Amino acid sequence: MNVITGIDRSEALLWTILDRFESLAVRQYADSARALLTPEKAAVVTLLRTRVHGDDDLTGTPLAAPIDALTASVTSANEARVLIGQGLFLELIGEAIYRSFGENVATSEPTRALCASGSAASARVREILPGLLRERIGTGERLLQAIMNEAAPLLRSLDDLGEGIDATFLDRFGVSFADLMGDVAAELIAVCIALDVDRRKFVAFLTSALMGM
Amino acid sequence: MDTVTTLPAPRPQIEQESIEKLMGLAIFGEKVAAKIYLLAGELRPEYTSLLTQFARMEANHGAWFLEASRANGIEPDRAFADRELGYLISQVDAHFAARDFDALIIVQGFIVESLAIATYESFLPIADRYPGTARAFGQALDEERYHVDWVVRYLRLRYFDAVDDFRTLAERVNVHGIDCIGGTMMNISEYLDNVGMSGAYCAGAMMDGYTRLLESVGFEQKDATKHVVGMFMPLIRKYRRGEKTK
Repeated sequence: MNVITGIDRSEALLWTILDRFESLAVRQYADSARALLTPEKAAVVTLLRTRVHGDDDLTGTPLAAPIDALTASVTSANEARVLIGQGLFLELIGEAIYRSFGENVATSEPTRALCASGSAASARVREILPGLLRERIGTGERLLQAIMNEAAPLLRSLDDLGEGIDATFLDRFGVSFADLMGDVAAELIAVCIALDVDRRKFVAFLTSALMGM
Repeated sequence: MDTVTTLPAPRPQIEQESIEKLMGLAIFGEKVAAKIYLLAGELRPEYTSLLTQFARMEANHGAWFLEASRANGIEPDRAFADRELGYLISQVDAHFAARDFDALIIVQGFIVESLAIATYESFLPIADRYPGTARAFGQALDEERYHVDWVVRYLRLRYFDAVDDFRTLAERVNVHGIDCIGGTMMNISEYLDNVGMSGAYCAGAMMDGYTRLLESVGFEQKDATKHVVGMFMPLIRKYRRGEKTK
């Protein structure tokens, strides 16, 4: 049990990872996409900061390097990278994590509360984002091309993350990377279809990128 | 008058070996498809005649592909096909032994046909490199789609007011079915690349095609995607590590 936070070690690691995601989101939205800097997002960061004070629980774990690579892949001053990499893909990965752990009987009450707050913040971003993508990038083929450019680095970085997630969370919480990615893909495809992206082309891109092509 | 005959340039060895593997899989895969429809027909007398006809069509596809291969100097790689199809045949035999008609229909009509359709569709744009194959694969593709249409209609009627039962069945059959056929898709990916197709595109097309079939029988879109991607992710990760899936 982690004395400082009152949650066990694997949950402390989860909080640290989510803190990395959400802190990066707040910084990037402040710089490049202020419409996504919502009160819900600020609230989840505040909640995370009550328990997370640095990367200690992440450092030295199998997830440290993959999380560094994942966050580096979306860190950018470029608006399209922020909207697509952070606002679309990383938000949906975060939301899938919140959903999986928030509905999990093995998680503690503080973590379930965090997941509820995080889910609300991600859901709010998901409401706002399609309008921003439509306005700032476009729809259909134009959006697909932007996604192919901006999300490829993130997708390439996911393989090592999968290994770490399964090693860290599968036995304890029954959360697998395959299930998380299924959840993420389902939401991604729904968002893209609503923005007139060709479904077959998008799935083919997603598959190619995940296969490392 | 002398005539000058221009012989086609020999194919690079990597392309030759790849097309021999792919043709081997297509030819012997069609034979297995015929076997599955025949076995399914044995289990349900009301469909025996129809499914025997489907089996005959699948056998014809194999014969057309063999003829087109021979005409193009392609010797189908049977050993490769046997390695890929062995796992499928053992599943089929198990479903038949359990007299599980619906499982056989899902394995053949949804999973195997999804791989066939995704790869045949993608092959057609490059088929002119292998004279005679465009017609054979074009007609086979039309007929595979016809089979799938029947399977969708059958499953929709059978599970009209029992979508949850269909979900349970599909999830059970998919555990080994997707591992097997999706695994084959990953194993042939580089060979598809070597003949000028895209293995990754074919894999995506198969995933999308299979997802749509699940939707057509009652899965919600997000549920179907989540299920199919969840089944494929372990295969994709093996592919990335250069591991064979079977």
